[in-house]
Amino acid sequence: MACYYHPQSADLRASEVNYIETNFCYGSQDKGFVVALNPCTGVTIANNGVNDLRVSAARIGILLVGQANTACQEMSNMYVYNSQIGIVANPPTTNLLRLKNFFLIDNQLGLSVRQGFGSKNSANITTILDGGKIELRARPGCDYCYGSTLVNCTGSRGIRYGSSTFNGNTITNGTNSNPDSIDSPSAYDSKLLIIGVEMLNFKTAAGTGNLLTCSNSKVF
Amino acid sequence: MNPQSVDSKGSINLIGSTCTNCELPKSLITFPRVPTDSTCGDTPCSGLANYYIRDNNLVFSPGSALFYVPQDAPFAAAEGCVLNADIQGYLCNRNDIGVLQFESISRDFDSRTVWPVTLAYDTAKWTSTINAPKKWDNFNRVARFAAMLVTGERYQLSFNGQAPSDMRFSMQQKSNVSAGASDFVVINMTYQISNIAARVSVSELKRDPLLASGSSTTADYFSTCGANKYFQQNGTLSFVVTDNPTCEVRVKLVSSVLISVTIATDIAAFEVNGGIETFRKATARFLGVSTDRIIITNVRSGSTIVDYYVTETVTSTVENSTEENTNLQQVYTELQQLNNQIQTSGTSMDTDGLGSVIGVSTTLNVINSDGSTYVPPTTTPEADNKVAIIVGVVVGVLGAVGLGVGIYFIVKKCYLNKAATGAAPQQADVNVSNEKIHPSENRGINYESSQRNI
Repeated sequence: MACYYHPQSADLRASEVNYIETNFCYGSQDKGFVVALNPCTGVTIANNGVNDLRVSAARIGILLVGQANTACQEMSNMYVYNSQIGIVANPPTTNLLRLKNFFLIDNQLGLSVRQGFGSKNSANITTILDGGKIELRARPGCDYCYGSTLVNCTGSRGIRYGSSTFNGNTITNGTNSNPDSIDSPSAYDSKLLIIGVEMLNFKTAAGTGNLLTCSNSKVF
Repeated sequence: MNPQSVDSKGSINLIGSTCTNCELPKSLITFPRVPTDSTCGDTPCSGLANYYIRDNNLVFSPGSALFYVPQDAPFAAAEGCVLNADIQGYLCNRNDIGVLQFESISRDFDSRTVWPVTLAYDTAKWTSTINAPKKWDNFNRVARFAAMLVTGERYQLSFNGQAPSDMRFSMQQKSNVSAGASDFVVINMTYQISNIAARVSVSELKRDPLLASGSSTTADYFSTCGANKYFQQNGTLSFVVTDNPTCEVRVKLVSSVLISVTIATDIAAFEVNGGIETFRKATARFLGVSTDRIIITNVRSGSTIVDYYVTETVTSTVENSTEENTNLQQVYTELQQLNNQIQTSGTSMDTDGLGSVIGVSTTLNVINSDGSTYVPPTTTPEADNKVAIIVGVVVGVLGAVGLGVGIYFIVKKCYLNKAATGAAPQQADVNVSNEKIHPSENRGINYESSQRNI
């Protein structure tokens, strides 16, 4: 169940131009977008691949699925509001995962990353979050993305980064109660680099104004 | 943090990132504690104690901390980090914390228990106990480890039992930009088998060791990835791992012939005449092997004694080492030939002017994937007995047939004599007896002779 479900990569044949771009999903009992990550090379966002997805009020805003045996994968321009989990990224066979320019606002969990690689001898597994914002605003003024009810942002988390796994694990179908569950030993050599990301309003005590409902929130 | 990843976590590096209107550090994280149950076997899971959050630009906690580490981090208290109860962790205002990653890449990487592993700070400030990942449903536990430590120091690494025979080591990267080799650690590791060859390589290229008797230590070469020194008598290997992104050090035990050669010259003259590089080339030429297979570990006086290994040819790589299927009998045969060559004609080796070889001693070591000594198959005593029995039966049958034929002719002769002359029967008995004895003795000699031939 999702607003849009396309876990395979966009067709990159030169004769066709395929892109999934600037789509909106307002409200989903499960996932907003289920899409495949773009390979880091061979795709220009302007004419191929997936770009600029916007979701609010979903269980998982954007589920990024990995492509088989693609060493570097990425996604840019993602906006998720008021969802249980903003973005889940779990590519199973990727050395480098790069998420660029994301805006995650008022999600119970902003971003969950669980990378992997399908070979026991692989190494140098890196996730890079490059430019973006993870914020708690409890913004009720945005009717189309929040409705009129003040968002409860108690206990919110910005980023959940566990570890990479031995074999990775792809989640595409159905409702999974634990979408970033780990099912195998960790991979060798995994790390997360957070570059130029702004975080806002993460506090343990309740704030004022709209942030009255926000407390006990943590970045990690 | 993902609560499921109790046995290993990647570290987090904040680079140019900010947290505005945040309560720091308490709203940064609450580090989960190491579980005290048996999730990871008899030793606690170590993943939750061996990762950090690094605030590269001091924006999360300006001026006070660069690293945030879990409360269970083994070194934090001893290294002056400050405990913060709100985050269940320590704030460490220092820039020399890193994660050493290492794992077995030998065939028995998921079948032989070599954990827990201890990493002891050389100055005995603290010791870290590292566990392997827990048993997951469809995977055995693997000998894969991550140890957070203070860089720029020397550590003693000890395994539960013989260390894996093939391993790789690297420092976890803190940035996507190469920082150069500013961080390093020196690892000392002792194998339980002495006189075994340890081959150190980086990017599959062998790194020759510093001479064991030399005054230089591996710490003197802290910026050189894979710099190493090996003390063959007690199996102690010391090597450098740097944080250069290309620095992945492979340490592999290899089958070898350990050789000590005595050359009639003093060490000063040995060095003047070309030293170990000339010796390496001359030896490779003499044995008909590549110089890559010769590891010189020591040069000592008396006259000049060179200790070196001639190793097996290493064909596996880090990527396929766990699938390596070496024909050990083939390795044994090849190394034994080299061993014999050195023993029989080593003193006639042309040393390219280094001096005459006046003595050689050798030790052949062929090892299994777990580091134990390979024993070539031999003919067993049971097999020898079977052969002897078969030969005995065959000879016995032939003897019986021969005896029967002989008796037949003797009896026939007696019968004919009696019929012709009427001679006394005693004479016939004596003749029969002689005839019996003579062939019987011959058969005995032949039988023994046959045994000797076998």
